[in-house]
Amino acid sequence: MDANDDEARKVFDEYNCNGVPHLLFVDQEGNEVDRIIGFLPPGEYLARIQNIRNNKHTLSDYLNQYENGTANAEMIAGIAMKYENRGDSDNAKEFYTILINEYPDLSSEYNQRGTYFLAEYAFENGNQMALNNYITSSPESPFIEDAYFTMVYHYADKEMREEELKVYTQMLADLPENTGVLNSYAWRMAEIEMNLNDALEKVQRAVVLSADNPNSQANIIDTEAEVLWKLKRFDEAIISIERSIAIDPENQYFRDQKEKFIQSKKEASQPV
Amino acid sequence: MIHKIINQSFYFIVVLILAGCQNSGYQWYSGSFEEAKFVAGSKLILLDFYTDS
Repeated sequence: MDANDDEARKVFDEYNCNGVPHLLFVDQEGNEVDRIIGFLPPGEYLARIQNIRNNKHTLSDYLNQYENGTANAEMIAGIAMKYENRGDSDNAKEFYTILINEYPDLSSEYNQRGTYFLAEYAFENGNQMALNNYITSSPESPFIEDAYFTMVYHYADKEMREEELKVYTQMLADLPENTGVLNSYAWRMAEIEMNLNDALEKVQRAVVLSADNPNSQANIIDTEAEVLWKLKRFDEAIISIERSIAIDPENQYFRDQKEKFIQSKKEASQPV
Repeated sequence: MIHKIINQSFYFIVVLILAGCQNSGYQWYSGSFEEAKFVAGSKLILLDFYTDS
């Protein structure tokens, strides 16, 4: 069946799902067996489903092996990641800690992930410096961007504006050519109506940098249009969003944005 | 829209999978999740979450 919005969201939240596509496998009692998050190549996807239905490489399979005395870095990392995917941070922390203490291979992808998880866990549990320390101590980590975004979202959620802006400044200095960072900063500045001219400069740089990826560029140009709209530069906002529409003509969101800009222009031109 | 929150329609579909069987297909189920749990028996229930964009 196609579930409606409300039911799908309720179940999605109930199982601590995060991101789509998201395949969740449960038994008749509603107990989770496993999940597949994100896109996989067809062959890998089918192999994962076959493993899941044979209860192989699932959390319960790994835990059974662990309790029977089998342990290796891959399996312990597997347990930790499965707990993490379920939103069970305390158990994920326990197994990432075991992994890092018992298999201290700093070059391992599992260790990098575990080290980042523990820093994020500490940050979310009140250690404000945990992620900054992580960024300083692991400059080559593939999780640097995640660390910054975890901080800005946290501060945005808590309405800690000064801290949020400070992290954005740090992130932009550290990742000046990252189109996702530039775009995110510009969109957020448009949302909170701050630093709009700087946001415009940053998002225009992102538009140039994303030239080889039209779909991504369409979304970034949409941010440019939003910033221009917030600056009340309505004609330029309309021209920008038309560029997004030219790239993705079926995108209803872009069309709605254009309508919003046209309406604002009309309202601004009416005599008071 | 990287890191933008926009309104998207959000859905899932329910599929029943026979556990431990190599040659069975996947059975699409036309009922609610609660109903699927009631009829699943030894089958696994697969919930496929997706959006329309």
